[in-house]
Amino acid sequence: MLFNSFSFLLFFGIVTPLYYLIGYRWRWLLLLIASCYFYASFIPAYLLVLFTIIGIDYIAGRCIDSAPRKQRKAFLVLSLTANLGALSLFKYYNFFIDTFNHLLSLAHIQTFPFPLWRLALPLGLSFHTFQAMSYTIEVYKGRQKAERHLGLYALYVMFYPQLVAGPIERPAELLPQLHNGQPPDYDGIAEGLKKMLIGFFMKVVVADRLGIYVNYIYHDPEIHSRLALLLAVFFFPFQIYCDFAGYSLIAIGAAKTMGITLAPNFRQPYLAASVRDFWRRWHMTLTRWFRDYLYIPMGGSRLGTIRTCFNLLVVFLLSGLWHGAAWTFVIWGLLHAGIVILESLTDHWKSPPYTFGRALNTGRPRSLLLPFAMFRGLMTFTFLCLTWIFFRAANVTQAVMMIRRILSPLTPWQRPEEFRERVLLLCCFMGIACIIGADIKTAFFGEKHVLLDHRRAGVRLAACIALIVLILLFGVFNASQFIYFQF
Amino acid sequence: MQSARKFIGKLVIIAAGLLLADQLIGRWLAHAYARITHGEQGHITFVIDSTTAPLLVLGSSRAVHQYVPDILTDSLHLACYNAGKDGQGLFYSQAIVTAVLKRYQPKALILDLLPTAFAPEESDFNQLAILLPYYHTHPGIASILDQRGPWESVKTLSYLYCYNSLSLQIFKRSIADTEDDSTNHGYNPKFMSLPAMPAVIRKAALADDFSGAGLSATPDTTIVAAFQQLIALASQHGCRLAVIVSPVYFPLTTGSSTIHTAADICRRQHITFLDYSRSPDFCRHDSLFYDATHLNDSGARKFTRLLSADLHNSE
Repeated sequence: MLFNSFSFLLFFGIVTPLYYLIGYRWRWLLLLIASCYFYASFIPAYLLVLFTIIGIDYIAGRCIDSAPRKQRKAFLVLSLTANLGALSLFKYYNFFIDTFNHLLSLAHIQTFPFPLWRLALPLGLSFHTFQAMSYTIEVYKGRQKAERHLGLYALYVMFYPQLVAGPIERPAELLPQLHNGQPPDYDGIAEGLKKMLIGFFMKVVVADRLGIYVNYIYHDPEIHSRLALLLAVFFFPFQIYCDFAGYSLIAIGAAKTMGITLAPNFRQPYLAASVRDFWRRWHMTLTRWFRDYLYIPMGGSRLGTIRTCFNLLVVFLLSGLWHGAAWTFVIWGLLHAGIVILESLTDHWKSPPYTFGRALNTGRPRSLLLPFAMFRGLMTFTFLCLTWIFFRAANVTQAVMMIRRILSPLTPWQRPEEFRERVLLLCCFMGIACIIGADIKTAFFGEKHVLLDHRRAGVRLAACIALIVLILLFGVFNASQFIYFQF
Repeated sequence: MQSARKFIGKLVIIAAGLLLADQLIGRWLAHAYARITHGEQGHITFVIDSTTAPLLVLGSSRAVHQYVPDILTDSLHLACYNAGKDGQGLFYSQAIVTAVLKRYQPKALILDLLPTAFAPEESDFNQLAILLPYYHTHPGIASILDQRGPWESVKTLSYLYCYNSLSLQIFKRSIADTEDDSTNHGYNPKFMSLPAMPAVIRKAALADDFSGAGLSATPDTTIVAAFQQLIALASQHGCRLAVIVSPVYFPLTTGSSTIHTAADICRRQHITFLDYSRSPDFCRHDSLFYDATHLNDSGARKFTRLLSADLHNSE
C-alpha cells in the first residue's frame, strides 16, 4: 500500500478517526494491527522477518536492562547481530557473493560459483533495523529504560507512517508518545493534513513527473545528446529530493494527525553551502544515526586529523552501502567522503560567516556575502549533481559513460526528438521552480506557509482546495514506488 | 485551539469547495477536450467518435508505424484508417473496438499482435489512462477502464482525475489546435533506416528487441480473455478480423508463447492469422527497419503491400 495510492487514502481515512474513537488503552493495538496490515499489503511473508527482529530486540532490551554490567554487552551483541545479520542476508549477501564470484573468475580459479539468494529485499529493512538497533544501543547506554510492553515496543518498530522509509526515530522520542494517549488536538490534525498535502504534491506532481523524463534518459543514456543528459542530471536531484522529502512529509503529517510528532528529515538540502552542510539537511535522521552510533563512538574528530579522516571515510562508505548493495552506491559514498574530508581539512581557510546557510539565516544578507555564498552553494549543488549520477545509474559503467558523454565535445549538443514532449518539460521546470521557491522562502522567512497558514481562515481553506486541485490536475497517478523504498 | 465542530465544519467546506472546483474545472476541460481535433488526443477522439472507415487497423506502435492505410485502401478497395496507438496493448484495442462498434460496423479489422502481447508484463492497465477522458461518455470504455483497479469507478467520479495530466495539453490546444503531427490516416512513418544511423544509435535501436522472458512467458489469462472478447465482439457484429504478427528484425525462430496461443485461438475461431515474425523478406534487412521492432517507411510500404496481397489471397 503506497502512500500515493487510493487504498492508502481509504486506510488513513479509516484508521485515524478510529484512533480517536476507541479508548486510550487500545490505541496501541489499533495502530499495531493497522501497521501489520499496512506492511502485509506489500509482501505478507516479510512480517515474519519483522516479528523475528522485534522479538529478539525486545528480549535483548529487557535482558540488557536487568542483566549485570558484564553480561549486558553480550545481549547488545546478540541484538546487533540479529539486525545486521538480517540486513546482510537480505541486502548484502548477493552483492558480496557476486563480487566474490567475479573475483574468482578474474583470477581464473575454477570452482563452483557460490549460489545467489533469490528472495526479494523486505521493504524498508534498512530503516526498521536501524530504528531497532537505536533502541538496544540506547538501552545499553542507559539512556533508555527497556520497554516492558511488547505491543508498544513492536509499534515503536512498526509504526506505519515511518515503517518503510523513516524518519528513523529514537526510542526516547517515539516511545513516550506511543504511551501517552492524547485527546484530539484539531490544530495538530490540521497541521498534519497540510503536511500530507504538501508531501503528496512533492511526490506525485514534482517527483513522479521528473521521473518520467529521468527514467527515459537513464534507460539508454548512450543514445542521448548532451543537453538531454544534462537535463536528466539536473532533474534527478530534485526528483529524489521531492520523492523522499514528500514521503517524509506524508509520514510526519500522518503521525501528526494522531498526535505523534516525528523528527524532521529534510531542511532545504540544496541550499547547502557545502557538502557537510548538505548532510546536516539531507536525511537528517540517518545522518544523526551514523553520527551518534558510529562516528562519535569511533572517536569522531577528537583523535587527530588522520583518524578523523578515517572515521569520515568509514561513515560515508557505510552510508553509501546502507543505500544499496552496489558499487555505484559505494562510489557515491566515497565521493561524498572525499569532499567532506577535503572540507574538514580546509576548515581553517574559511571564516565562518562565508556560508550560504549563515548568509540566509541572518536574514540580513550583506551585499558581498550573499553572492559568495551563492557561488559556494552552486558549486556544492554541481558536485551533488555529479554524485547523484552514480546513485541513479544502473551500474558504474553507465555512470562513467554518462559523464564521459556529457564532457565529450563529440556528443551532439541536442536532438529534436528528445524535446518533443514540451508540456512534460514545462511541468518539470514549473515543479522545480515551486520547490526552489518554497525552500528559499522557508530559509528566509521560516516554516510558515504564506497561504496554507494565512491568518484568514478563508484563504487557508482556499489554498487547501487549490493544492488538492493542483495534485489532481498535474499529479502522476501510476502508483510509482518511492525511490527510498528499495533501501 | 479549535473545537471538533469547527474542524469538521472546515473539512466540509473543503469537500464542498473541492466538489465545486472539480465540476467547474472538470467540465470546462471536458468541453475543451472534445473540441481538440489534432495531435494525440484529436486522433483518439476521431477514432472513437468520428471515423467511419470500413477497415480499421488496431494495435500498438507497431500498428501506427507499419500499416499504410493508402496501400490497404487501394488494394482491398476499402477505406482504411490506422487506429493504432503508441505504447498501448490489447486492452486499448479492445476498448477502441468496443467504442467503435457501438457507433458503426466496420467491414474488417486488422489487429497487429505483439509477439509478447500475452506476457504478464503487458497486463499494465496504467497505460490506459489516456482513455480516462472517455470514461463518462463511453460505457464500453468505462467497463475496460474499471479493470485498472478496484477503486477506479470511485476515482473517476472526479472530473479532474479523468483529465489528470492533460490540462496543459488541453489549454494549449484550446488556444491553438494546430496540425503538429505528420500522420496519414493514422499512419505515422519512420523515415530513418538502420544503415543511416550512427553506430551508437544503431546499437541501441537493435538492443530493444523481443528476445527474453516475454517470449516464453506463460500467457496472462486476463490478456488472453481480452483477446478472445475482441474476437467475439468482432464476429458478433459481422466484422472480419485478421490477426497479424508483423515483421521483426531478429527472426523469432522458435516463435513465442503469444504467437502459439493466438494462432491456436484463431484457428479454432476461423480467424485469419498471419505471422511474419520469421519472414526472410524482412528479417535482418537493415534498410527496411527503423529499430529492432519497427519497420521504417519503405519497410512499412513493402510489408503493407505483401499483407494486402496475402489478405486478398486468404479471401
